Amino acid sequence: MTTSATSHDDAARLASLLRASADGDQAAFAQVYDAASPMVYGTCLRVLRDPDLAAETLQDVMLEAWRTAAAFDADRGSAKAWLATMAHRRAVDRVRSVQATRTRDEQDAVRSYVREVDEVSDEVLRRADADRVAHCMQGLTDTQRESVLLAYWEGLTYREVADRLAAALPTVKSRIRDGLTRLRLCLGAR
Amino acid sequence: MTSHANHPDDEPVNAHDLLAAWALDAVDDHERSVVERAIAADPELALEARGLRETTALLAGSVAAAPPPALRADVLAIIAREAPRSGESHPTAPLPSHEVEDTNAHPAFVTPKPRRHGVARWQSFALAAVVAGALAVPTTLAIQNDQRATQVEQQMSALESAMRQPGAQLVQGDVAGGGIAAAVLTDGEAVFTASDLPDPGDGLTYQLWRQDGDHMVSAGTLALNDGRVSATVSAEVPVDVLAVSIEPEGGSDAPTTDPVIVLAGI
Repeated sequence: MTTSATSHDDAARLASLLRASADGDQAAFAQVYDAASPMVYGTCLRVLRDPDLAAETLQDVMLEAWRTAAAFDADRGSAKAWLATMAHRRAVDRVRSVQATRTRDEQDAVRSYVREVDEVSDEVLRRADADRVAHCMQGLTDTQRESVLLAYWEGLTYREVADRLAAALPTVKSRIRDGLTRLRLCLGAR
Repeated sequence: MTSHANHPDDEPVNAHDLLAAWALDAVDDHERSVVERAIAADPELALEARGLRETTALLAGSVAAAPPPALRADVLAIIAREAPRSGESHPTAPLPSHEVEDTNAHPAFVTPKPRRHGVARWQSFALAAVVAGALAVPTTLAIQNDQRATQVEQQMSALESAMRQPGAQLVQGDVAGGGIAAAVLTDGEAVFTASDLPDPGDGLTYQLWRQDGDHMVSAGTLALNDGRVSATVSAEVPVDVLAVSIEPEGGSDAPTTDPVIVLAGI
């Protein structure tokens, strides 16, 4: 489960299931759903903090995946990244449109990030990814980590991150760029 | 790599500089389109973009959580209704959902040809009018209420960036029940915005539709924020008709009520 050979096989399998879905293979799509829905739902839940909204968004994302499966291009990235991008984008679009009516304690959420991954294990299906990500997150500076997490999990633009932290725009851009690059190196993402 | 388009800061967008922010969805619509055009044109940038997206996918995977079990059957039932008829294979079909007639389409909802009613055609002053009028926010308010201003800014920049596409058309009209709507229609994308919309009512939501052939395809439900909604619709086919109806919360597979607005291109 944690070996890179296995995760490579998983990636190839998900890509071929997605291609079969593009040809209208519903059974293949059911397997895409099974493989991807925990990641999609977890991402939506994390960004939206509302199980009902997260479930709605999961449904939207999976239907979008079914309808646009033919647009998936393995040359441009993994099936998992394709689905994660779709999920995060939808969740962020939603959070940006409901932001004004919700009270969200972003700072607290950032501080509790690593802790939550450990504590909510009865709800969260622990994956090999979680440990690696938590480990690699520790390799970022505090300010890099804060900027990356505010941007990704709070759905803030880098401008909003700069406002929130009362930091200069170029500073925040560099923190995000250097932080994500460092994370990428640590995780070995290609 | 850079665009000198009007931006809130009047600063050109540097795609390389914003690549990580783009990978985290931490850019506005205008910046996103600049970055994505740069990626399409530069294989080296595309490679880096790919690595960063794979990194964010690992972030997404790190919070995986079990979804409500009942949702699986719902999703699979919906796709079963959309799937090509059994025995027919569409190995090259770009979008399976477009291959079939949607038997759920509300017959009254199909936009009559020449489908121009309630539509103002693109005129050179119209975008400025919509941006300045319908979405007006004085700069003082922008300082007082940065979140709201950011949303308006995003609406404007999405409209502006769509207007720069070749063949883009601006259409606008009044919404039945109150409010006004505007959309920029382009070949593969449409940006829809509306302001001053009343609350749709308890348990109800606004849902956006695009016409595909003789039926309407959902473009998602619209979350109302301070009377305002906006959405970007992407499709593999030209988006020339958009409509909004009021549907039960969560949205419908096909429109169940008459549209409150239909916006159609020429």
